[in-house]
Amino acid sequence: MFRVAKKMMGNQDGVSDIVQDVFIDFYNRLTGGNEIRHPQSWLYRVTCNKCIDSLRKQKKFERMEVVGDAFIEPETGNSEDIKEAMNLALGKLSPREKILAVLYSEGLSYREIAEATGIKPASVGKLLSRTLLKIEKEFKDHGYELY
Amino acid sequence: MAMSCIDNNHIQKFIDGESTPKEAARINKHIAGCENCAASIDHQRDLATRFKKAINLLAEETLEIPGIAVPPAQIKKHFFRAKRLIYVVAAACVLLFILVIRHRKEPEIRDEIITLESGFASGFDANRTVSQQPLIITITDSKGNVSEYFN
Repeated sequence: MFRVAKKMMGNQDGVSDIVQDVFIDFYNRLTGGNEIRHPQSWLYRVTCNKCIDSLRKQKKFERMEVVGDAFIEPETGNSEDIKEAMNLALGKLSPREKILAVLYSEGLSYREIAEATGIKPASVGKLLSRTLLKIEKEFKDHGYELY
Repeated sequence: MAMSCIDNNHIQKFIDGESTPKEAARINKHIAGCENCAASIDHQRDLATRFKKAINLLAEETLEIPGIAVPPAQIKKHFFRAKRLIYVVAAACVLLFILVIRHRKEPEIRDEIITLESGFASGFDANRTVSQQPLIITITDSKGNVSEYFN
């Protein structure tokens, strides 16, 4: 969950707080007598949703300060550059695509991804293919190659 | 791309091992004779691998999990449990000691006295009170010596 939140949030703060919030929600739900049919999917879904909410809140403040997209020097190279390029590429995706990409990178099966995102299992492959090509294009647009 | 070529959805499912055996067999058969689809599968597989490698850089930081702090109330409880256990063990030791001592003394008595009988020396006299009846105590020791005592 920490890894998922970390990928969703990029270099933004608050990852630990989000994971803690998810566990508190999970605990409250269980002690409140509510049943969670697929705990793993539930945890992933809530983690992703909380990350999206947090990013939306942070964007409201960022809009006042940042004009235009950040520009990365087109160099191929170290992991810090790739991290930054990946954050930018993920930032260009819709929330649904971003969650899909992150859960896919964690090795979840299509069925688990479908449970966590609410996407139809039959559509996961098509959306994933499209999302990966989008990310590749974003990298290329910034003068990077995925290594 | 020919009509029978594989679409992106099926390519993605194929590289992720999510195709049904029937679909996988059809794709394997098709790519044996279609260079375009074979290249598409290679490209998509390579892209997926590179993507996972790159995105995992974002989460390479290890998470430090702090040690579990036991609340003071729980510590107190454990302390009292330990204290109670000490008392119980001490009491058990004393009891065991007493039992061992008693157990050692008993055989000495048994060695000395084998039977101890008591009764009225010349039958029960109904005209006398119990305290006035003549009593006899017969003791036989381990060597077979019989001793008799009268009141």
